Amino acid sequence: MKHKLSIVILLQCLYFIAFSQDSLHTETNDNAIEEIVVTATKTATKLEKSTVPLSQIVQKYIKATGSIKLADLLLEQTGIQLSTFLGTGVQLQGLSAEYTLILLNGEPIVGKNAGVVDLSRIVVSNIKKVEIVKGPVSCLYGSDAMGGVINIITEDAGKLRNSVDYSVQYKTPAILTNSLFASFTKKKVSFENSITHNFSNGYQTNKETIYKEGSPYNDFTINNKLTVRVNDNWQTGIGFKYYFLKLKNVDEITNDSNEVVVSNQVDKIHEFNFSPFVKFSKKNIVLNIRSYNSFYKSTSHILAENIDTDLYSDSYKQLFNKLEAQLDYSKNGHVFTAGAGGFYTFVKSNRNIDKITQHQEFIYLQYQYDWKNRIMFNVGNRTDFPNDFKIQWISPKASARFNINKYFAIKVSGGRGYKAPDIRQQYLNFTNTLVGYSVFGANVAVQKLEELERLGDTVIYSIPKDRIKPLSPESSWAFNAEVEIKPIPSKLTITANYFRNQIKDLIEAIPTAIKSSNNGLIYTYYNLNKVYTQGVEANISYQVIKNLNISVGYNFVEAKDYDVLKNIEDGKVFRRDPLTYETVRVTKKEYGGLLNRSKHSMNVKIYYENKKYDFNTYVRVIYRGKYGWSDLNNNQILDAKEEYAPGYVLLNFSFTKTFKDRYHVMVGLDNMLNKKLPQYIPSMQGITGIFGFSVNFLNNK
Amino acid sequence: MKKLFIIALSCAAFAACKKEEDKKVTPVTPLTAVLERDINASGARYQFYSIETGDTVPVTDSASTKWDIAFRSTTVLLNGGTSGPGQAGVIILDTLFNEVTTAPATGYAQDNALGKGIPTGSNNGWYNYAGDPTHTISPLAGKVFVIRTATGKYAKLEFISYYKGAPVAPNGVTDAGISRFYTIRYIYQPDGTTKLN
Repeated sequence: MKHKLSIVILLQCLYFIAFSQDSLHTETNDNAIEEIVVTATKTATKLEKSTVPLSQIVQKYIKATGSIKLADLLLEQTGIQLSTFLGTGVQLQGLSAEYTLILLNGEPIVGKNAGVVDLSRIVVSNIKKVEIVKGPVSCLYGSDAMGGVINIITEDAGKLRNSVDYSVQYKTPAILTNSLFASFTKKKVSFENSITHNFSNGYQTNKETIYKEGSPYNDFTINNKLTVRVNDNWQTGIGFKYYFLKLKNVDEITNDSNEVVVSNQVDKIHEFNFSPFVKFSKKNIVLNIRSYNSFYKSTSHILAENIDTDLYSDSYKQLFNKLEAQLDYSKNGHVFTAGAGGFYTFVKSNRNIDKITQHQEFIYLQYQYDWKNRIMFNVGNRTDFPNDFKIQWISPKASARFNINKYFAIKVSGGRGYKAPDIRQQYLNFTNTLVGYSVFGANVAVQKLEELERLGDTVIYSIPKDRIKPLSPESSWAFNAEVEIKPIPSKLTITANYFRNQIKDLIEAIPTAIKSSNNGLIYTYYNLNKVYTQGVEANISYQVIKNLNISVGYNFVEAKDYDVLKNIEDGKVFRRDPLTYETVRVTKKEYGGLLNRSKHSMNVKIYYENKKYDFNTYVRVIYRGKYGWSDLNNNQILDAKEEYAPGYVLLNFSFTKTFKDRYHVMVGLDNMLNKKLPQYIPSMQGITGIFGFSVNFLNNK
Repeated sequence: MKKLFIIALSCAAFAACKKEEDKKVTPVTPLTAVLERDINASGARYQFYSIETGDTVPVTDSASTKWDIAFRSTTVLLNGGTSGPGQAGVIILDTLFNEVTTAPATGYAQDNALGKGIPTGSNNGWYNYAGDPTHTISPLAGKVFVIRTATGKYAKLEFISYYKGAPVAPNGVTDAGISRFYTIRYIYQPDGTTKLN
């Protein structure tokens, strides 16, 4: 029977839990697990041998913060800035959120609203750790990994004991989370299941309106993994995930007859994915064949009383299928990796032209060498073939680590990353009937413009039509250099990393033509800007005494547009004082670079664990410096003081006490300084309480 | 309508002013800048305006050379080419108002069948259109319009605001009711020379 089951699963085929590692199946030594990282190289590597900027958040700290959503957790990390435009996203090294690739167990999370995977969709309840690789050196993943990769690694069923955990948490003002986690291992079969339900009845900060700044919502996440070890060489399994969200809100609007009416917003998301894998390992060889299949559907509607048509209507469906095989061969410190695969995606959306299908194939090669634990290096390349084999996108990388002595190491890395033009940039078909402007994707713009002309509308071009071309991917070259100093090995570590990213062909929509019928502008997308980002990230981690850790992180970043700099140099950028009407030239010093980036940010964290009384406490201070908010004086750049949002400090505290090894009580206070910035961050609620309780029912050691 | 704000040009540029005083240079009588507020361009017809007289011109004179420039919502006409019998044309410079001291002799663009001397459209001519969600129209800073008038004299002009009263931070949606009111600033050289300071 069991045999039959495994064959069925084998036939269904292929998935690879990115973390799954040979011969460690029953290993439960947390420290050993914490030191193994997988994201940068797609192979298991010891953290201390990593050649690229890499950090990780391990479960101990994830649990100690009391975070429910991944966004809350990432907010506290050095070098990460959140952006909340069209969903919560993550900026790394000064690159916008759409250049950060978010992986779940090594596979991309699909369903991007305007290019960003909304991190508030991801709950942390069963996350074992999060690995963060900065810069495009993890180009083996392909598109979108320009700024870096965040890989969320969930519990590995193959390595778990039998256990059942239940936890409940309440976060003021209005989020209740219930989660159940269970894992069982019997001989060759391991099964893991987690169910998380978040419920919020919403909250209001501005009581004068009926709109709720925190929308009421319900979401469910169900995660399953089944792993079967067929024999010493073969392993197979499958993962499933289902996510559902329903969000509601109300507002008041004025309709055409000048009456104030109530509008109702309803958003829904369904996401289902399954990911079978098969793995073969023997001596020096590991072969992984995995498939990842995801279906994502989101709808958003705003309807008003006494108005027939939707005020807003958006629907988006995406199907994504991927198959990938990877072979690793290792011998005497040499590791060769070769991989190949392809994916197919189907998108249907009311904003785009019809139904869109795309497929892409790819191959990658990587070679790593570890010379006597003194010098490690890694070279690799990935080549992508979008839609056909006529075009190739090449992403090479190289990195090295020099362990000078036990106190001092240097890491240097460089590579190329790219971001494929997204569906919207290629196929968007959007007309704002109220104002009369249109935005067309680059692949359909010519067709749509000719259609307008055929219908008798005169179109006046400000950019010649033959300049509209299929988009190239946005691409970057990056360089990172890091020093790692350990004045007191295994107690005190200081790292400082310099990074620079040169990004070109950034895709932007600009006016191309004007319809003479209504003077409506027509926008389409072009590969335009060149920008650079550079900065320094520094971290200090100090174990003062056993069980007391202090860490300090600092990040400096700037991100600037080359064209703007050139124009400023040429004296072509101006600013008018709205009071005196005097116009002045903007200086280079006044140019603040791209919006929504804090030049300075910092964090200090203190973690204390008391084994005798079985409690831990975790205090975090997060500083985010002022950041560009919006161009208020209309010169298209960030330059005036009032265009910045103010900086802020968050003080977060949590305390967890364990009773009888199985009952955990957690109390947290986030934002203890009661900081509120309603104009800039409506969701910043001031002081927030978190109360959690969890119990472990069964734990066979 | 007739609210004329006279600004002595030499004092508008403070630094330059100080320098001149220090050097005790006796300047030729400086030209004065005119700040014309709230030209109403919200009607169905163009609002005609004479730079020479600093006043609006009735629509009945639209076929004459009595007007130099006309406004209707965001479109600006010059009295020349396809728009009128005059000689008006424009050269658009990316510079500061005070730095334009002489009008070029040639190169003036006139309204024609394909487009206007001062082009329409966001970032094409005199304004930027913010699009969603504010839809605000904002004059571009650092755009100086050197204008040859209907009668062949010279002036330099800049656009200050598209909203009545030139509010500090207009919003295209909430201030829609006060939009289409131009505030402009210009210096006119009546003697027919190209000197503009």
